[in-house]
This record gives sequence, C-alpha cells and structure tokens, in this order.
Amino acid sequence: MELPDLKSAVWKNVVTGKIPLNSNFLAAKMLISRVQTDVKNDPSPKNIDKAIGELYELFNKYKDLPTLSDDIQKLNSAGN
Amino acid sequence: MKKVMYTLDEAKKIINEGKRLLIAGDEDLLKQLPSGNWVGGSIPYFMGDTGGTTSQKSILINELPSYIKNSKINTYNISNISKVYADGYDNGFSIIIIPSSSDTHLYFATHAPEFTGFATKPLIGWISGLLLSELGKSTAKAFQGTESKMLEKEAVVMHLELPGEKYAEINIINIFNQAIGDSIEFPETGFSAKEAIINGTKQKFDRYVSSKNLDVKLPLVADYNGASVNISFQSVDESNSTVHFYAPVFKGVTYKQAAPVKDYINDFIKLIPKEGTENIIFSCNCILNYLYSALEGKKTGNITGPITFGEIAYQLLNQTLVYLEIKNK
Repeated sequence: MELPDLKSAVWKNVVTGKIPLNSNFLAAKMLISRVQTDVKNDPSPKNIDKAIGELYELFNKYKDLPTLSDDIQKLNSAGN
Repeated sequence: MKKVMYTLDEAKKIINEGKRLLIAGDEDLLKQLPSGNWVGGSIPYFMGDTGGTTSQKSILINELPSYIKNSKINTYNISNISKVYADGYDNGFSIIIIPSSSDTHLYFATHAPEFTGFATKPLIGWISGLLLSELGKSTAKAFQGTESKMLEKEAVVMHLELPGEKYAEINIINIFNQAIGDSIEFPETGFSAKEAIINGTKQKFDRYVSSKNLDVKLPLVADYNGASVNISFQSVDESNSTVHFYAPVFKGVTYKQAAPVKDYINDFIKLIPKEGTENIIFSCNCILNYLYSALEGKKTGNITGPITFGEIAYQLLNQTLVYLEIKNK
C-alpha cells in the first residue's frame, strides 16, 4: 500500500498530535507516542523533521502488513 | 497447549538436542544447564502448564520454531545497549533478558525510546528476578547459554531472523485503563519523583498521593495512541518526600491513575486472543499482577511464560502481559 509522500503535511500533523492515529500496530503506537513527546518537549522545525523521518521509516518498512492498512488509509484520507 | 515446564534433567536433554531455546528458572537450576543455543533468566514464578506456579525445581522452556533462518546471541551493558535495535535482523525479532536492578536495567528503562531504530524492529523480553524473600540477599541473573555464562550486570539478547514470508508482531494485554481523574505530568524523566504537575499545577507528589489516598496497587497509565502503558508505584518515601516507581515516568507524557479492577482473571481472560494462540511463541506477565491478583494456581488461558520483574515490549512496561506472534505476510 502506498504511503503519503514524505513531504505531505499529514506526517507533521501526526507528530504534532493534530491527527490522532489509534493504530492497531503496537510498534506504531510506541513510536508515534515517543516522537509526539519529543516534539512536545522541543517543537523546533529541526526536531519535527527528525520525528517525521523516524515515523516515515517505520511506516515504509511495514507498509505491506495487514495490521497497518487501516492506518495508511487514514493517513491518505487525511492527506488529501 | 504445548508443555513448557520441565525438570532439570529434561531441560539438559532438550538443550543437548541443539534447539534454539528461551529458558526461565531459579538461578541454582540454570547454573547447572549445559552450554547450547539458549538464553535465560532467573525467576521462580511462572505461568506454567497448570497455571500460576512458584517453583525452584522446575524450568520453563520456550522452544523457538525450526523455520527461523539465523540467530545470534549478544550481551549488552550500558556502553552498547543503545545498539540493541540496530543489531537486530531486518526481518526478525529479538528477545532480551536484563537482570533486575542492574545498571543495564535502569539505563534501558530510561533511554530505550531514544535508541537508534526504536520500535523499527520487534524487541520483546523481560527483567529477571528472584524469590521475593531473597530480595536484598541475592541478585537477579541473565544467562548466555552458548558459553554457559551467568550475567549479573549485563543483558543477554537473542536476535533471530525470519524467512521472508513471515513477520513478528508484539502485542500487550493490559487490564488497566486510565480512570477519569487528574492529569499528571512529571518535570523530569526518572524512576522517582518529588514533584508532579497535577492538572497544570506543580505539587509535591508524595503529598498528593497521601492526600488523595491513592491505592498504589493501581498503576499510573499513559495513553500511547491507544496502548495503555503502566508505571507501577514501588513506594512512597515520606521521609524524603519522594515517590518511587518500578519503571521511569517520562517528561512530557500525561498520566492518569488506573481505574480499579474488580475481577482480574475474568477481565484478563476476556482480553486474551481467542484464535491464533498457537502462533504465540513467547509471552511473560508481571510479578505485580501475580501478587495483587493472586494468580497462583490460576490459568491465564493458553498463555504461558515467566512471571517477571518487568516486561519489555520495545520499552520497559509494568503490570502488563506481553506476547510475540509469528504471522504470515
């Protein structure tokens, strides 16, 4: 399944907590929470970009797993 | 349900068959095991074949599937534990065992979410322990089976590679949920706290716990995007105005105390997956659940594994059952 482009605003909205993503995939829940906490503690553009990069890497690695399909659909809907 | 509890002689025989094994048992038994392709940790409490069990005569063995392609066993201390995710296979999983109260335990607990590759590869495991009456007299251990090495300060990790058509997925079973109550944040990350920010106002946390008469058997719970992550209370030290926890609270994370649980076993069994439990190849549950819910003699569905001093599902958790399933892509 295709992910939203790395430059899509949807990734920033996830790491800043503007889009809630109650994933079924524990790894995603853990990483999203970690990067949201990082961004809350340091909301600088550099830190937000780092958080987006980490999250994108996780989703890109596991994008074909059935467990992530709902999340990816939600990301694509939110990105449109 | 597959048998998991064995005598010492049976365990020796299984190791000598050359299989990849995850082992839990009393330190005195594990010290007698031959070298082989296994990792282990000390603990005398189990979710065994017949339910919750305390035994210093039985050994719990999880035999890993024969389709695993490759494996490697590494040891880690505070100087290299940050590589534990990076060292894992791209398609696989890793099992970690860390001795309770070791520097490696404390460092991993506080820093794992910062490690390179955090959550990008499945990491599951447990904090080893000992008979509760031995606390303060002895120490927890991890075991590196290939060299029959007993570790008091280091973690042992078995990294495993799966064939391309399979993947590993970690899940947790946590019967606790956030109550409708105060929002609690902490100004610093750590295993203890003197102050907390309660609904936006900084307060002495020990005084808050006392004045609210909190039941410290109920953990603090954070909502990790739908996953409830517990932090269990260890003690309230009023003489030093400090509250101690069994896992670190994290700066920037919002906690609420858990709602009371009326019937642990039934609530728990309702959450256990009804199908596919044959694909669960490892699980463990918390000693606090074992104690507070009187699990001795009670069965937790088809789930077996060590009862631990801390559970690891990517990072350290408390009062939670964690498990790993192998699925087809």
